[in-house]
Amino acid sequence: MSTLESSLLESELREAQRVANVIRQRMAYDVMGRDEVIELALISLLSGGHMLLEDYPGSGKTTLAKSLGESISLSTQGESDAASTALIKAPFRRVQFTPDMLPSDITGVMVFDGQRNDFYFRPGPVFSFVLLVDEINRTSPKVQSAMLECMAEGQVTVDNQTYQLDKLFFVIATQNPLDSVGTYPLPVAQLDRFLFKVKMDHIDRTSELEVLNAWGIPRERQDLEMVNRDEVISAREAIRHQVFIHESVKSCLVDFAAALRSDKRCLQGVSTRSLVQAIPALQARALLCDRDYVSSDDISYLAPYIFGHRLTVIPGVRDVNALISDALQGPLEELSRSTTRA
Amino acid sequence: MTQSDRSRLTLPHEPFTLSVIKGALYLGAIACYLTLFISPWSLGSALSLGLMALFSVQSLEPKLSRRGVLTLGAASGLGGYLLSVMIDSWSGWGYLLSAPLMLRSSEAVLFGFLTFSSVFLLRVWGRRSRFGSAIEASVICYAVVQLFSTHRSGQVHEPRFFSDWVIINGQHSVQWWLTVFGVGLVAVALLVFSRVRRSLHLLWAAAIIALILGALYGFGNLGHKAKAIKPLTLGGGASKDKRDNKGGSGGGGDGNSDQNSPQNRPPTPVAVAVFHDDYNPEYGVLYFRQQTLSSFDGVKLVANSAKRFDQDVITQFPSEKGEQAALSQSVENHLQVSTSMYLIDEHPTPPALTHASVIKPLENPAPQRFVEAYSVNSLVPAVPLKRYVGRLSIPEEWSSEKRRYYLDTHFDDPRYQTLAEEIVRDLPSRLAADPIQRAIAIKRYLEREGYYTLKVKHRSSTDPAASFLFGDLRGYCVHFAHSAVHLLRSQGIAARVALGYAVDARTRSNSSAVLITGDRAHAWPEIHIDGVGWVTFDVYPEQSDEPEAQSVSQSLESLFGEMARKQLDRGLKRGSPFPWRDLGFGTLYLLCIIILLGYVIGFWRVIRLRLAPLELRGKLDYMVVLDRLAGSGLRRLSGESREEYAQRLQERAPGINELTAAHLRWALGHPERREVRAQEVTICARAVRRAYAHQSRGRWLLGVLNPYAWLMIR
Repeated sequence: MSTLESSLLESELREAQRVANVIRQRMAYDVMGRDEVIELALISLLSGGHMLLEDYPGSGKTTLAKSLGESISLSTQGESDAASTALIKAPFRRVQFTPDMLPSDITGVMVFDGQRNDFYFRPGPVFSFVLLVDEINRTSPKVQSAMLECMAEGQVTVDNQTYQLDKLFFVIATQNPLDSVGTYPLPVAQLDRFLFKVKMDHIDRTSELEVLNAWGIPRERQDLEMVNRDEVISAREAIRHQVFIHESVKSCLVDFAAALRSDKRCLQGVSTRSLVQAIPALQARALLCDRDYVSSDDISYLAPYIFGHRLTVIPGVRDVNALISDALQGPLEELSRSTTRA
Repeated sequence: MTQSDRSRLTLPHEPFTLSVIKGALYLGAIACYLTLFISPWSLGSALSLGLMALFSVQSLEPKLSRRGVLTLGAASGLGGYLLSVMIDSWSGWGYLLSAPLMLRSSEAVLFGFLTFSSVFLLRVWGRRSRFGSAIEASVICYAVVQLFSTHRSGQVHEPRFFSDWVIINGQHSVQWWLTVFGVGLVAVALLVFSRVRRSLHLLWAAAIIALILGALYGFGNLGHKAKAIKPLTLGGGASKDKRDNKGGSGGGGDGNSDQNSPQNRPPTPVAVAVFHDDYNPEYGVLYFRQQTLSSFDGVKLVANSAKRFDQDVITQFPSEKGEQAALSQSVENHLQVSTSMYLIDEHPTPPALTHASVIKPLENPAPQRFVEAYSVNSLVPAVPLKRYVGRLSIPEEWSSEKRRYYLDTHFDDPRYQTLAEEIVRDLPSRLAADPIQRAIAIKRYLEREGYYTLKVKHRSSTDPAASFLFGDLRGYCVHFAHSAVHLLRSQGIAARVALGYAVDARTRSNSSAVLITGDRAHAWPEIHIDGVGWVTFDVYPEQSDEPEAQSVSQSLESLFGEMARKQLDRGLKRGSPFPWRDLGFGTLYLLCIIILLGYVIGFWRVIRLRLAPLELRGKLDYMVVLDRLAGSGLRRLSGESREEYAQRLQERAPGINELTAAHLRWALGHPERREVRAQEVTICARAVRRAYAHQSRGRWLLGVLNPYAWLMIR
């Protein structure tokens, strides 16, 4: 990265970059050979979206999510969000979804306190910074929708009492692409709430060897830095306000959506919500690339992850990514040309 | 059609440069098309309002709905038409402005507003639909075809390279050839202009264009059929069909109704006469006679088929030895004038200055231009007609058969006799006995009472002369000539009708050559005077609705004159091969201009770096670097992002990555910081230029020398 560029970033953006680097470093330390997923998880965290991982068992999803959750410390500096943080007992939680779960298993439940002779609220796992939902398609639609409501609204209502989730609330859900017996596949409307769906392949040989070598050897990582919740929140704010998104980039997105919707191979195009969600993601990715503006590169990089799972295609079409890149071609070229016009 | 289909069919926004190119073509097309038809005033008005239409399309088009466009277009066209009619018809203008000024401004208003309306509608249509842009292209092409087909009227002093070649190679339908060329042009224009991406659409549009051009060709052919060359070939008496022929020639008689503005169309040259002696005719009119009608067949006058009479008129082209006419003119009353005739178009009988005595063949100086060349010795009258007063019409020595022949007229129809008597009765008694005075009285009567017009043709009656003479006395030269001859013959004066061309000697330029044009075809009476011979006795009606005859273009006249005198060999030989040399030079010349233009624009793109506001340099500096790179073959591929392009070129042009990043930061970053970022772009661009020039000198040079590098960038 050129020094010229970095020097031009605002101090808030540089701070956000530092936060991202700290998290990235910790995750890279814990997870090997998953640089791209780490990058996407970072973008997702910094843009306030949620992430769906489609992967095989034992491929490091939990490690990844845990590492991400543990790089954020519980301590807060400001007092403003004290109410919501008070309910949070750990920065990272993991829930395994099973068919017999109830919504209260994730949101929390009112419990009777014999001493005080009163009910009190025991927060569920959603009261955390990073929540790993394993095998989200194994549970009943009732729980799925309760979960997705938490993700969309950022709040939980139990016994007519509404509890705000933390601003940082970030979900990493997983599902197994093959083992589909006895599952409740997520409908498109619910998939639409995830910013990314990432398909993870097996890691390469070197990384796998490295994993084997590292196994069982206790590793010291006290020296690695951590970030606190407020830092992440302010990084989000900085990105949202200071990474510039040009009008022609927006029109490129809109043109892309229009092209996708009119494509004959596509039964259902992408939603407007997805375009709205895409903007902070593009901004976050721009920052990770040391830029304070969104460029065509960000769009072509993120488009498959953002839009791939939202499309319904006609039977026989296998490669959704090809469809997306076809639809992107015209608008991206137009965007590239727009920079030399008046 | 679903909404999504509809949205896909809308055209992408037309780039500004394309708009400018098209605008220039439009103005060129207006100039091309209208310059042949209208006055400079109207042309100026049409051009300026056309320019206005282009500007208003540029600014208004995005805001206007379809209805708005149609309303504006129709309102301007209709409004212009009504305004022009108002100027024309309201007499108050006549007082306010002078009459010619009024006519001119009316025409200027009409053409200006019609141009505005049509340019506006076409342009908007072209911007909004594919089909419209195809039509745009074809209109421009048709205008070019129109310009190049001026040879149709024989205007060889305005040479048109392609038309010349076609005519010389024996093709007279230039329009057809040009249509073929036009279709090709349209196909090219379609590729350039239509923004049609799918080949099927292109084919469809091309088929429609071909259809339109075919229709235009057919229309053009109908419009221009009225060829002006063979006016008198079938010349019988005052028959109906003869009049039809006459109509075709007489300044556009029949053709008139089919054409929009025949008065403005230049007349077709048919022959050139070169005078070897000075000669100023009595009434300022030169008569070139082709044949005479003297035989009365009971209804009308026809040519003497047996050739027993009118032997003083030479009616065939000269053989090797030449043709000699029977002597009928007295030598003491005539002068010898020798001329050379060069026929541009085919004639059945040789036109020759009256009264031709000897016609000899000449070598054709320009076979590709002239069909016939011959020299003529003529006896022209040296004494004014009035001097012959007191002479008889028919000499003693004429045989009774000859007398009967030249006096034969409608003896069965007493009206001729009665009218003639009435006319002559007004003469003082001392003059009434004199045949010449009687003849002049009849001539004066027709001149006074007759009304010259090409609109009344008396076509339906079996005896058009009677229909004219005893009707409303409206008609043209044929009617006047035949009526005069009948009246004269009824008074015992030998007379006949002569056919040919009457050229006003005053309209010609000072050179010795006289250009005869098709619209000068004429018929006039001749009378015979004892001891003198045949005398031209033309009737000049006082009242006429015909406009002043157009004078022949002087340059055209002198050009033909020079060709006739063989001073100008234009290097065009009959059946010459395709003019490769001209084509080569023309192409070379054009190529030079195009290359030069490219350099000028490329140079301008460098110069404007200094002139442009600082904040724009973030774009301009980057583009200059792109020009260099693209000019040397390193252009961005379609679908490749600027970053990928820079990555690809990093080795060849070090620093391009930084430059691209700086440019993108300038373009896509926060607008408030543009000025600072533009400076970075400038610094990076300079570094890249230096590095590129240093690293690969050959390529850099190629980029500098490529005139159209700026067109290649993306």
